[in-house]
Amino acid sequence: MTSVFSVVIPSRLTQSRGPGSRTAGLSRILEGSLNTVCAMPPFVTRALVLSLLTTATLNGQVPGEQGTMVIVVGQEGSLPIPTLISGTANRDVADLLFLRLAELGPALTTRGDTGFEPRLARSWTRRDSLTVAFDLDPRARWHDGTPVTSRDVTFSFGRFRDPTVSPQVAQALRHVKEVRTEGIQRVVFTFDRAYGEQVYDLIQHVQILPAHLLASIPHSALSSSAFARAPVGSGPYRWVRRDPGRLLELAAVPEFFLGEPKIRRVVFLLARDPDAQLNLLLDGTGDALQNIAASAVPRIRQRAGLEVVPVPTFSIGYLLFNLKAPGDPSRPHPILGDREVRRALALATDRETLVRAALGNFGTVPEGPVAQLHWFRDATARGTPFDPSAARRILSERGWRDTDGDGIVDRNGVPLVLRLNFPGTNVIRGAMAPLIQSQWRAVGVRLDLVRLDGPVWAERRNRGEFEVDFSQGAFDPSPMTLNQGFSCAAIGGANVGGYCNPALDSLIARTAAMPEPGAAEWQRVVRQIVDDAPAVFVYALTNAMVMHQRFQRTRIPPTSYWSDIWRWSVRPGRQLSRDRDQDRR
Amino acid sequence: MTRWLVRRLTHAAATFLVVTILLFLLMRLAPGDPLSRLVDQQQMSADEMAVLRARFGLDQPLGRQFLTFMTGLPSGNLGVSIEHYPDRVSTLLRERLGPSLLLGGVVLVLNFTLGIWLGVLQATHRGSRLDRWLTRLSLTGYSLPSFWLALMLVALVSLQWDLLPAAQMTDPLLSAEAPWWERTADIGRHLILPALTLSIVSLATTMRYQRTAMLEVMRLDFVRAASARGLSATRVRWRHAWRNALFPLLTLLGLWLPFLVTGSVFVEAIFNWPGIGSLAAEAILGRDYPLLQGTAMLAAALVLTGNLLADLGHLLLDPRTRTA
Repeated sequence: MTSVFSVVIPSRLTQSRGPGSRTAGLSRILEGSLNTVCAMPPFVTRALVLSLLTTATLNGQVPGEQGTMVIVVGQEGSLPIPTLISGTANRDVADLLFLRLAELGPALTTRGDTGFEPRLARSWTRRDSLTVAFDLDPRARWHDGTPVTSRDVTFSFGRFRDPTVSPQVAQALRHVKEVRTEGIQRVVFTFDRAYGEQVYDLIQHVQILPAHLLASIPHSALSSSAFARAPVGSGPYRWVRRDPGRLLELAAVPEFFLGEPKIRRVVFLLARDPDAQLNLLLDGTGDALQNIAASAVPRIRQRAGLEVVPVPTFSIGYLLFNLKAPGDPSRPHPILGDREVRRALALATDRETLVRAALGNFGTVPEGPVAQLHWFRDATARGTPFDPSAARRILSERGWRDTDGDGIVDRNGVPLVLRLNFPGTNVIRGAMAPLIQSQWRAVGVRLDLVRLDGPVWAERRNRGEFEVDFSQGAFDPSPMTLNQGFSCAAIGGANVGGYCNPALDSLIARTAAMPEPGAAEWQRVVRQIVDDAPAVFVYALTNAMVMHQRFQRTRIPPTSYWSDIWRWSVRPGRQLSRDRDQDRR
Repeated sequence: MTRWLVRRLTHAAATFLVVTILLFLLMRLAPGDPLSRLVDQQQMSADEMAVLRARFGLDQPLGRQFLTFMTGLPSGNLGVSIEHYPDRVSTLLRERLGPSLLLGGVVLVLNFTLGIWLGVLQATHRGSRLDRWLTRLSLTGYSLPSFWLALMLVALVSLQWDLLPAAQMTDPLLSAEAPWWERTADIGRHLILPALTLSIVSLATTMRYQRTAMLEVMRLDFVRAASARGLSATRVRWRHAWRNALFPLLTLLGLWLPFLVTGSVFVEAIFNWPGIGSLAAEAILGRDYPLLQGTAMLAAALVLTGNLLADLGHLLLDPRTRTA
């Protein structure tokens, strides 16, 4: 029995320019040869195919490593334009479309001028303590083929430094005095003061936008422009389509100047429901999921082909104390305004038990407002220890004693009762809250749990309508993140607990002004915050990411999980049909 | 007839207006920050929040927001979604309408064909073993929570036996240029489980309604007379009895019309079906006022239309109601 099918070489493989061209001739030769092969007995055909495949593998042929990736996401990237971004979903997509001048290096250090990885900028040089010059990579191109120039950089910084566009970035770039071009490929930044994170501020907050496409569009009209519907960037992936409410698709830019991406097609598949997300992975539709609950990990591990990848984060969960009196922010809170009582509550919290119970291996106990990845973290420091006897002693010293024998300490007839607000939909905080309640009860503090709907919880938190709030925050990689949440100036903004210590503000300002402050200097700031106990820092989160095992990864940057997938590939011999079938579009 | 229609349309329009105003006010008065999801993801300064509030008009006084909303209404402008910014609510509703109509339509057709047939079958075999088993089965289906049934079907059919996809309406990797039969087959495969879930839990209602109505009619003299005239059992059953037992079903159909679009929030969420139901669920969770308002208004309009059509059907099919 012989094979009877015939083979037609697709024209795209031979790039035929006409019937008489050399490639058309090649096409005919190939067709003829393959049809001859197909007419052979099956065992001969199989042996030939096998030998061809073996040769391809031995030669390390690239096609074996190309692939498609379907990332299941819980939120939609509906507008991945850097100046309009809100939410991580948009950010994830924008990070594949738009490049920065450089990226944080593997050590995630934010100080000094080294330790960053070049992207649009090939190199940068410091001229003096106030001036840095960036040289752009001349190979960099926008997806429409236009070269990336210094004009794009000055245009982008102009947009981002406008407080009406992005107040937070404008604030971060407030020390940038001037951005000017020196030729087509050099941009010079001048600062109004010397400090250790100048380069970090320049590279972290600004993604470079195409001036030739956006200069004529006022920022107020950008969200409704054609550019917003099909953004043109300079990153490793270009925009293909968005099917609202369903998916967003990107395709690799083969001529990407830092290297051709092996993952040729990336689909962000939207599924809001956590069960649906998990099922999409288990039935093979999805390849990756950014985060799953610890309880779902065993199900994933049972499924062949999938693996759980722990990814440390910059997120910390903390019990935030409101230091202001309820209904009258001008007065201190009658209980929590006392620093010693706050310290007693911190001592009464067994954070190790909480983390093990609710997070298992997907969390650690932080020293203070420092996540696992912060470069200034002291890995050996444990922060406030669990010491219930010390907590009881401090409370007693502050006049809180159990005078009526009901197990709750009181002062002047007023029992020590606090209310803990937390979002009911959050599994981690929901699991920890009752444990904290029982731990504090052991030192005579009654904690009433207030489980709230997410938006209601957020509203009360932002308005400062809480006594103790169970918050979780993704902190910035820079130690200046401490300033955002705990300085007096941030009251009314991110500092919703109303904690204010001028000595801390001064310490932060002094440390930030150092030319290159080290971890030890920032540790002093952290210790000051821990001593003042404006919050109990309960857990530092590790994300449980799910990934198909066929992907060969380089690393997963914790600030943007998918931004490095252009360096990923599919393990040889592990390709699925979707990896081979990328020309279906 | 015309006067009746004009009166009913006027009533429906007035009801719709009142519902719209109430929806607007109640949503804004309910506690909860519509920007909460964004705040939970990243630290935001007061200025940043102010920019976002201005973007969605949330910084305006309630009266101004209401005026903006009402003036946009006649032109179909329902505002911009907060969760799906910069998509307009009307665009989102239009995009989700197709999948909802497809799922709801299939379930409705199944209910009103299979359900009617089984109901008639039960009535004509009253008290038989078939009647008893169909009653047990339909009530079992009716008593199952739809979300539980959906999860069970996914666990067995999709994950255990690998027969059908667990979620989605289409294969995300299927090309938009794929031939129509391939795309239709793909949608069909994805449609089976959600449609089956919704049909199993809702079929009992139609069956019970139809069974009761048929039993009522089959007792009447004209049915006995038809049989006495020597007409075949099938002709008596479908031509004489069933046509008169149709009216309760007409009312039921009117009540079910909104289901065509709103579907089941839980089932759509579990199957990741991109319909209006899941859109409404997202809007509720995120306090996306404009989107929530849009979906609720659509549901209200469908309820009113369903009732109107049911009444109109009665009027056209039953001469007695016309004289009344």
